[in-house]
Amino acid sequence: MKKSTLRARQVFTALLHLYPAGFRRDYAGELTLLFVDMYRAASAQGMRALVSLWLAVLPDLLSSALRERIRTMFNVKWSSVPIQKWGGLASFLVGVAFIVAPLIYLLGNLRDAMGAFAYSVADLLYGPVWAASLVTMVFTLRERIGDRAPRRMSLALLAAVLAAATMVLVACIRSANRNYHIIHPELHLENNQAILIVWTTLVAGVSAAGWHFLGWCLVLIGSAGWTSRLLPRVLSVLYLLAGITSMFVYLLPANEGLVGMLGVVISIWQGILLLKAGAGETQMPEKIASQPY
Amino acid sequence: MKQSRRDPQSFLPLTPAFFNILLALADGEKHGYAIMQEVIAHTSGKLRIGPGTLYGAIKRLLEDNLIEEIVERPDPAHDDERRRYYALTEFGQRVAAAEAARLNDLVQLARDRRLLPDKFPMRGTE
Repeated sequence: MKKSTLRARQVFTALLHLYPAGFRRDYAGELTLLFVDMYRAASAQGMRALVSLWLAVLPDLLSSALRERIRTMFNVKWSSVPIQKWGGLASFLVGVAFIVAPLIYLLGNLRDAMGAFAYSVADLLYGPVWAASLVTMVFTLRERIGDRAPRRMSLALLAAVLAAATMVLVACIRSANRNYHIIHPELHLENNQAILIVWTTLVAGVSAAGWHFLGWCLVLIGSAGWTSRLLPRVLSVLYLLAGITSMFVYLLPANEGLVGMLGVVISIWQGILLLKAGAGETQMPEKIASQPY
Repeated sequence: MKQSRRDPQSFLPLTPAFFNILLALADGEKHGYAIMQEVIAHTSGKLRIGPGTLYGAIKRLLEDNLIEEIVERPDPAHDDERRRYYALTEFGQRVAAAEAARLNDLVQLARDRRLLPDKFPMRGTE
């Protein structure tokens, strides 16, 4: 092999490290052979053809490596046990957040010695913890149901991400508001009606948007679970019921409590199922299809 | 041969890269470089599939049982043994045929809308 071909092959082989390890293991040898064939053909045509070859190969490698990495990231097989255990744990955390945070908001008192701390815990639970747990739970479910209902589960994941982002935003607004009140007691902001209206409207409005996205997420999971038969029928119905209720919290704010209660039941039930599956007690269905082209 | 339970229609429309790879394999098994050359030849150089895209597509076509790797090499004496050969599966043929029929319907529609003459010159006749 010519020195220039050898050098080009070394560069190409190094670039293959952009791909995920599994893809490299399966195809690196063939890709290198293919590249050497292309390189030999181009070098026979002169420098211009070689430059064209590199200009074509580099963007192709970068884009396809990125594609493979994304596929690997979002295409963990259902048989992968750890992700189900994480999904189960996340599901329980969603349930805990649904119970503890509203209790603190309802019963807490900012003037207590531990009042501000308790509210911070509630914001942490109903914000980042709830958000991360929800996304993890839906991601895990997507692995379970995604083969049979790929579009619905991808949309459910998207809705979960939107709901999660919105709830983190709500937690940030609540926290910022509370801290500003505490830092500047001399402003007596709690007595300022305009500020109170703006803050409460803002928090209620943004959290209603979060409930709405959560509603879409739950409806999509319920529908996918029902048609794929990979979730118990009753659980699918609960998902649908909670989803529809959650979608319209912005119109009927009193339903927030009902969604919370249904959320507790669903997340605990789902957590048990995922942990059982993670422990190998549930037979996983054969993968019958991947995502359509 | 592994049978797929999926409906060929659920794979449509195929991307140009996927369809052209299936077309390249329609007349017999080939290795990666031969597939690439065949695609360039039958598209008159209009479609050039890069190596990364080609093997990404091959991976997915294998996963979906549209193509399969063949164990017996066509010419083991005169070929690099590291090369892998791929062939269309029966299901892959059905998917490719469904895509061809879909494209044919589109061409027919284009004719009906007078975007194409009734007798469009065949490739290579002019």
